[in-house]
Amino acid sequence: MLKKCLKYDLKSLLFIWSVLSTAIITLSAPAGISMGMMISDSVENELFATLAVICIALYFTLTCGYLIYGIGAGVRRFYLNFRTDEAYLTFTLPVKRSTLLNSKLLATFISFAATFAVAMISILIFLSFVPDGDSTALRSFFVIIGEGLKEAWADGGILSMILILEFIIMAIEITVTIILACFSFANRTNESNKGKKITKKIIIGILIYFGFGLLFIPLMVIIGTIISYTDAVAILGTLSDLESLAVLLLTMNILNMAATIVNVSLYYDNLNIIKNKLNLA
Amino acid sequence: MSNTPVLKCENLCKAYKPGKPVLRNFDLTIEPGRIVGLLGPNGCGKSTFLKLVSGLLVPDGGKIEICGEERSENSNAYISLLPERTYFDSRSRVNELISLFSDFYEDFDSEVACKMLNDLHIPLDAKLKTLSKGMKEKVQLIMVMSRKTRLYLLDEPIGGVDPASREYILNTIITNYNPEASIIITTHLIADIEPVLDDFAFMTYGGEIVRMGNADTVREATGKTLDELFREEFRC
Repeated sequence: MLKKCLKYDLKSLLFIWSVLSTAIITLSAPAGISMGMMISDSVENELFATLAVICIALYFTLTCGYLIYGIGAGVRRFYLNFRTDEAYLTFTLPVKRSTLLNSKLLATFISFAATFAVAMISILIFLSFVPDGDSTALRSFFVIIGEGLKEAWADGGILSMILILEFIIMAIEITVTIILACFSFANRTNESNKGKKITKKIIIGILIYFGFGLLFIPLMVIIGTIISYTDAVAILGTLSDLESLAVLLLTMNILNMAATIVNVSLYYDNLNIIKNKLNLA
Repeated sequence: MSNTPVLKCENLCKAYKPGKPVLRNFDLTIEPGRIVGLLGPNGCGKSTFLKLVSGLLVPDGGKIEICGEERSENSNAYISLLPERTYFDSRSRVNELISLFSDFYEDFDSEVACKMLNDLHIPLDAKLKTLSKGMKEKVQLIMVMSRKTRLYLLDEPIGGVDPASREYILNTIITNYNPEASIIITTHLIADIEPVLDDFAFMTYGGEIVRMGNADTVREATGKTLDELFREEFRC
């Protein structure tokens, strides 16, 4: 049944996703060419210059919208299937509720991963058309990343460790946020013991999530302090890198915690609705 | 034919707010092969009862047995619910719904569904959002009645349908269901639905059944139609 559910969940996301993906991939080359012309100042005709600016603006707006869609579409599917009249169909299908949840969660992550991958490809195409000296911005981009990684490994591995840790924490935070958002719309699971188990898992997930978020900030301070006592030459460069990383992570944590608070509130609001009113509109 | 009741409810309780029960110690047993009209004024708990049976709501107390087994997630395979609302994704096409039902319900007969859709002049490639409310209700009813299941729960099946199509739909209800199955119909259009009912139950506020029995027997004994009896019972 999971396969069947997944088929319909992915199918429902596919149409808009494929239209948007095609649009941003198609637009990335003209936007890159336009950007190149703007940088090299080679556009003399005002009309072309205006069109180039519109093309670039459209591309960036569409890319941002596309990324938001990537996260939102799966969550929206949860909302439509569980919180609107469509729930009459969802909950009367001869499918276990855990299967319904698993299928939608999988579809959400597949949709998010696919959106992220297409957005990355589109940005790389865009950069390949933007000139940077004798080369392209794409080449410069890879050179910068390569040098950054080389530096990260060269300072004794501390910065690289922090970078890896940062990516792991960001991945966990994004995953937990999406799961929480999905469960917030899907907590009609209290009918059975399985439902209660899922509720417990959500609470454990919330605790782990907050734990990571809160632990990481003092961790950054401790690492920063250790570095400041170890190598006087490396202090300035490494600390500035650490500070910017800390600011980035702090912002990420605050945003994610705000999202979590909203999700948890939604979760309990939903429980209240289910208990006291009909869950269906 | 099995003698196990298709549906057996004992002491069923449900309240949305504390102290205001919608259903209180509600008992009902439906034998196989019966078409039962669950009739009552607005807000007496008819739809709540159907939602409890179909698992959309969780009872506060009591027991629900479907085909001799306690209600569980597996019971959905024996129940075909027609809610009073339009509940399909409005972006879907009619033929996509047929695929969906064929995929999920082993007992769904797509040929029967296509024939009925054709009879009611509903194009298979039509998007639901392009259809009128009445047409959508017809599509829903066709989907629900094209299953060969044990218990059909029809909540206001003809409420939004034009009088000309009602006869076809009622005929569809009678002819398309499995003889071992039972149907529970809730409606306010008693006069329209009366000819197809085997049994009836008048339900009042708090989920109390004030009168129930065989439709023909009651008509013969009282000399009145169910519609007339209903008006007498629930006169404001």
